[in-house]
Amino acid sequence: MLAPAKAGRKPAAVRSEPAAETTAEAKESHVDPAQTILAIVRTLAGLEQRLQSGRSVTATSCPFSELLEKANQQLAEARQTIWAMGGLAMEGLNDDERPIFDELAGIGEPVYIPGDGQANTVKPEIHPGALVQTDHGTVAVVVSRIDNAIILRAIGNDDQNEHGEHFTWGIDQTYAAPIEGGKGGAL
Amino acid sequence: MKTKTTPAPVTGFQVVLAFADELIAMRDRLAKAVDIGPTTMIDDELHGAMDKVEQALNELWPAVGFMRSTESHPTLSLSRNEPETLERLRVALKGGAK
Repeated sequence: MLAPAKAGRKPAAVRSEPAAETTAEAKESHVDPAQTILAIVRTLAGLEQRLQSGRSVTATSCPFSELLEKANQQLAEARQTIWAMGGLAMEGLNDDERPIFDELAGIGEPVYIPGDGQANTVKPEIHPGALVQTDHGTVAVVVSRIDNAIILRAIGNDDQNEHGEHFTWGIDQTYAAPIEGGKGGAL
Repeated sequence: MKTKTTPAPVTGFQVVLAFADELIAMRDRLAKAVDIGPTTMIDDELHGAMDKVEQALNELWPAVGFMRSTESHPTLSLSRNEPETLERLRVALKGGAK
């Protein structure tokens, strides 16, 4: 069930200086790396919290308790490592580092919000914790998944037009984006 | 005349397995990023995080098997992990505990 381990590690290299200022177009095509890090850290923290809750309801003599505790420690270390990457992201990224963060964000094609006249389906393989970006530029995190839709919560860059007028997709608002023909809409 | 069917309750085994699936998704997500990463500090950090998630998964697998065995063999002695505890555990891991 598990994927085979990587044959070898690539040697770490000294990080070079961030590339010179990128074009406005290039900037728009990427999600803020700090938001990506934050989304992954939140996902890991959520998993940790559930493990911690599970551990708290089991007696210390229960075999589950030790297993959950160990798994929780590993997740905490993974979260701390990812969190440390946030510092690197804040320094600015080299051009060859940006695709890494895009991959981490889970961004493929933009998610189009239902009702705005655009195509509005989401790939079914999208997973909770992934970041998506709407056609208006809103960055949202996939909160959960229901039968034929994923639940998105906007976390940044709420939509606004060139006059500064806001669309209906505000920060912390949630939407159900349909998967494969399901129905979506504001929650 | 249609017969109304009641959906089967979600078992603890299914919940633990689903939790493991979420860890696998996170592990694979990090692995994909590692695969495209250049030889930078970011790649090293990512690799470390992926290893930790993998280890967490390895710690959890026995719990999956244990949960399954207790549910498929109800007559198994549960002196140290009573059904009530397993139920609370199921709820907690599912993310519904408040």
